[in-house]
Amino acid sequence: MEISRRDFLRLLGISTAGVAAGSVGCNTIWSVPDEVVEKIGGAPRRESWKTSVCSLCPSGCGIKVRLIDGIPVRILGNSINPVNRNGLCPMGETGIEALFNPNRIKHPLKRVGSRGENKWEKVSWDEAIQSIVTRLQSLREKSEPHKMAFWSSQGNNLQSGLIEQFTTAFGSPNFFQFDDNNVAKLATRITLGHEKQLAYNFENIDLLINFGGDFLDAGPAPVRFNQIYAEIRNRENGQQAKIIHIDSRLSRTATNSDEFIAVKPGTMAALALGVANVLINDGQYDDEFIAKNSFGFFDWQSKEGKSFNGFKHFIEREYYPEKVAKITGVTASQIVDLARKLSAAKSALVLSGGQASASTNGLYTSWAIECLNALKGNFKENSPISLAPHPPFAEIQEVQMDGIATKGLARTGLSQAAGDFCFAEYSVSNIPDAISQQNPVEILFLANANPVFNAINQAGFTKALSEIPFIVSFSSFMDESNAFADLILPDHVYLEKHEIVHSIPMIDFAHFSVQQPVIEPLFDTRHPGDVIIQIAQKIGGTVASSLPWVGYKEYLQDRVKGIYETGTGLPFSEEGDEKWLKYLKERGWQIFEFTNFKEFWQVLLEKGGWWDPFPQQMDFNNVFATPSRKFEFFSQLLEKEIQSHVQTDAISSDNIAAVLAKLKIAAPGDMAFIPHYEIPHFDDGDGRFDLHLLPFNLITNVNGMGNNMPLAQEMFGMLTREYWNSWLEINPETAHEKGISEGDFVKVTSSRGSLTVRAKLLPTTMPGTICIPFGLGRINGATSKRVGVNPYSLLVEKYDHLRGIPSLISTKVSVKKANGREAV
Amino acid sequence: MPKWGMIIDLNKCTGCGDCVTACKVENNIAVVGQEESANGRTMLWMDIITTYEGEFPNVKVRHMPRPCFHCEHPPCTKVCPVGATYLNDEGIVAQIYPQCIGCRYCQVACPITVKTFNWYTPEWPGRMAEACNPDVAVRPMGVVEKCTFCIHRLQKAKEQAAVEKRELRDEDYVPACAESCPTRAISFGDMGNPTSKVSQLKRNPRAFAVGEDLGIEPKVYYLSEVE
Amino acid sequence: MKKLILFGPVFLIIVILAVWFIDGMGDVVQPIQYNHFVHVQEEEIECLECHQYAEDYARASIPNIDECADCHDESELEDEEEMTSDEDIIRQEMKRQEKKILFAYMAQNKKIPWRQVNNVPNYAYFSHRRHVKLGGIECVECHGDTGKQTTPIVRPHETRSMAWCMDCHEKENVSNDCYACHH
Repeated sequence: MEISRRDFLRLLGISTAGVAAGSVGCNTIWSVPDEVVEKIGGAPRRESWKTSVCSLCPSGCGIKVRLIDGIPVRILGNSINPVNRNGLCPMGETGIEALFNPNRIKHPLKRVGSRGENKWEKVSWDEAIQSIVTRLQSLREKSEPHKMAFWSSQGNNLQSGLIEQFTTAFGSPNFFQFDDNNVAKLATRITLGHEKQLAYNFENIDLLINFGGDFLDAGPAPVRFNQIYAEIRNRENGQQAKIIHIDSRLSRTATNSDEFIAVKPGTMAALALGVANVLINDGQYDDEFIAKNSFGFFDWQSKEGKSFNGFKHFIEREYYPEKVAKITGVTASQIVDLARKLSAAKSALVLSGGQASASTNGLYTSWAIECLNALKGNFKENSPISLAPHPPFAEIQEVQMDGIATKGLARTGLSQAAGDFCFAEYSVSNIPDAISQQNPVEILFLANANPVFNAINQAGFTKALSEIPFIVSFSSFMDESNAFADLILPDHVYLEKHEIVHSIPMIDFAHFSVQQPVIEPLFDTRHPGDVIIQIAQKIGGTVASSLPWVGYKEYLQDRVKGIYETGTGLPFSEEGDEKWLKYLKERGWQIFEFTNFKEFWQVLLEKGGWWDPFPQQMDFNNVFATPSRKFEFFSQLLEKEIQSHVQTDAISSDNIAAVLAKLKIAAPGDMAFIPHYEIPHFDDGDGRFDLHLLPFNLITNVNGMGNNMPLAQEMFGMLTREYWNSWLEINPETAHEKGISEGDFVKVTSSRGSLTVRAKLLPTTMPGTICIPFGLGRINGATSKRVGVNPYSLLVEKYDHLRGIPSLISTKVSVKKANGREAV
Repeated sequence: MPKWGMIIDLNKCTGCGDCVTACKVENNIAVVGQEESANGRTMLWMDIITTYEGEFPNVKVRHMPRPCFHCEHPPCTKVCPVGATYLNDEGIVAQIYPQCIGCRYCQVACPITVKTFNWYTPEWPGRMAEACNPDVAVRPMGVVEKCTFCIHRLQKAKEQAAVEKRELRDEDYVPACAESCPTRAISFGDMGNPTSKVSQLKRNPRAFAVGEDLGIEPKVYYLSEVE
Repeated sequence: MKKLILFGPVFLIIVILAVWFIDGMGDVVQPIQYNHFVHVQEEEIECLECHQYAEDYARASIPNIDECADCHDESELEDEEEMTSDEDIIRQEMKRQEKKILFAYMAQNKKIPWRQVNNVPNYAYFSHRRHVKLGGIECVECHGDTGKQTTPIVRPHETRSMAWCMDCHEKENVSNDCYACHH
């Protein structure tokens, strides 16, 4: 028998692993994993950098990835990307953990167990795609293309354009995006008459009033807003600016402001209108703008000769400071003070977000707040507000539709079917019911949409997903929704694929960032774009000819060619360069010089993207697409929508009161078409629940998007020292009343359910409210399964009464110190 | 000899926590997991200390990033029985892992609690170990670790400067936290050089240090918030 | 006493075995019986031609199939060489066998799993650039006259203890501060 030295040592029970992998004898006591030792040995350690875009959340921060011998080891902000200028958020830092995560889905999977059981079997790509194509073809043969639905998240990239092209060519009206931006889209529809978004310039303002927008922790661009806030607070003498924050919770955005005004949950509209009242009484509003570019401010007469009271009349009558003080809990003198500060400011900006739009009166509230910008005359040239510009991408070639597609598209989409709201296009409220009842879906595609985890009607979506016969998911990781899938076609993670992220909300210059693979795909995964194109090709006919690209990268290049051809803007350049370039451009120099598209594309990959630092002056006369072509204090559009509701609901058109009642609008008659304070609806379980639940987001794990990275969990509550865990914020005063002390386990109960979570006594919480962060409480997905709690599981199904957007602050709860067993 | 030091402008800091995470990623600091975190063993070289003052709604919340202060009179080095932690010529309080015997005296001696102890061998699930920063040692179980001002970056920067046959410039050497701070609240440089940016900032009337009364002479200064 | 007589030889055998094992503990088995002599002395290849990163990066790197393919390809196996003695024949045959292993790796596009013997623990920063380019140290000073070695490298030339590093640093007047190398 031959025995080597090594075998002998092994027999003696001495591990040779350290010797073998490490150096000779040197680090045998050094118990570092073998992979690390191997990595640290070996290759020359050549350092290289690649630019890309972070796609962990939709904010589209530019990144540059440090590679050592071709392996990504660190992600930093791209210093020349104007969206985030060198900054990154904690979640973005952890991105590499997503790439190398052992819980990634490594190849296509077919469900073998029952739904939700999580039993899967490996299938080949060809087999998986063929099975989808067969099903899709049979839908078209039966002339039922509307029974295919596609749900995705994040609308800031070009993938959504491709998906829309596909669903339209196929003939399905059921492409739905779970996009945070949907909230804003409807707000501008009322104020501007279209869904184009507003953008803001903070450079020259001296006052920022923020109604509830938690811009430093949640979307739309937290890194950018951290920079903007720091910049505003650090202006040198003479240019100092103040930030006033209005909210029901002292969020990190609030604590970084100069002044904080606490309002009762859901009453921001009243406060905004109270401020408007003071401005009107003081005569401190932009007369010229109001006279020329607004509609419905003063009393007016319709064409039919009917006379109406104007906005001014209502505000003067209804929203005097003393009354508003009673509603909001803000004192009358504070309201007057706020209004005086606004009128004294040379250039002021009023923003809204977060809680402002998360109540049942959300749309009225955003509109009321926007009225302050109108009174300040911000909707004109050289004001801090402009229309968000878009990069001039080439239009996608026109979609070709055959008879089947045309018929399918004519059907009512799942979300439009919601009858209880004026603007239901972006409402998720009706989707589960629609699936169960009138509008069955046979094939559902999920692209990173996870409604079972983060929709307000979790239970409805769970039921709906279990009723859909065939679900295909394109995720890289297991989650709550794709547990219901029949087929999982794993996506690359963002560091392995091409994408273009563009037009981040609220940014006032046109820009897009290019995501490129920094490493070859580690596993047998594919880009959903490539898969969709392949499926379309296999279906054939007009579907195939509508998506003629070889792959997703070619599609992206086709779109970017539009920019190359127009020759506007330029690839990202060093900070400060734009001033120099602007100088040159004004003097007629050619800034954009590329001899061919390939060269342009190469520079884009190298620099990370494109922007247009020379924005066109906005002609605000063409901005308003409202019926009056002006800023409407009396919304004729809303009036029209409500009128049309009258007709569909077979209630006689003079009985507008009945319609308003059905839409749950309390304001009488014409007041419904004017921004006003609707009393918010809260679910208090018939008086059983006494505390407002105000859930919030954290920059470390916005909406649970960082759930697959262990480090993002560890950093989850770094400021409150709650790592890997959720917590409940409660005011010490309220806690004392309830007999709760710091660190106690507390049982939180709402009409929907209950959960147990540890209490933190924080003075940042308003008495009478509790706050729980979103993000944790996963029930599927390996990294953070059973870590923390998910406040969505407490939220009662309440929606904005006009637009059907989930109302996240309308749930009331009770808290009680948990007994020992509940705590475990 | 340079004296490396850091200035953190609290008026610019928004408490986003990017410095903390950047530090963890850059320095291969172990992720200890849910159970150990609950035991208070989360390992942070850079931490953010949050303080609350007042009652709702008049609450002042302060965020204070806290790296190792690299004191000129460090209490931790004096108690180390084996010389594993000492103040080097460039003003950096060094922590030499192979020399450390894990007695944790220094951890106790540090008045600002910057030192953390490796209770376990670090673990990386799956291939995640591949993403470790090869420039930084992975610490084994049983040693104390802390902020090094990203010393590996200084080693490389010096080498690069020597290859290019020039003096070390201020911007050559920046720790990960200062580099990735989105609001550029953290400045870093040579405090021994009166013309450097950090020396100028140190002379700002807003500048203060924590623990000056202890006589530790920290080299991390803060610029207080503008009221 | 009787016991001691009995255990004496057994103990001795254990000691001898132990010495033998411990002595060879560090030796690794290389996948290919690589011959530096042939490459360096006969073919006159410079160290840096294969260990190409020694001047510019931290690691000199061990050449792998890509570098090998610059000179070697499978047609070599057909080359007939003049063989005069039995010894030559054996030598050629051994060479052929080793080349076959190499070509097998190249055909599969698989990396040769070289075992690295000159390794510095991960808590120390060792940079070739610092020593070769800045310090102007010749390869042989640390690695010995590897070029004359006909068998693969199975153990390092120097012990590479910290004392060894520091002795040289002291001689050359280079910083011996812990943080000059440790990180």
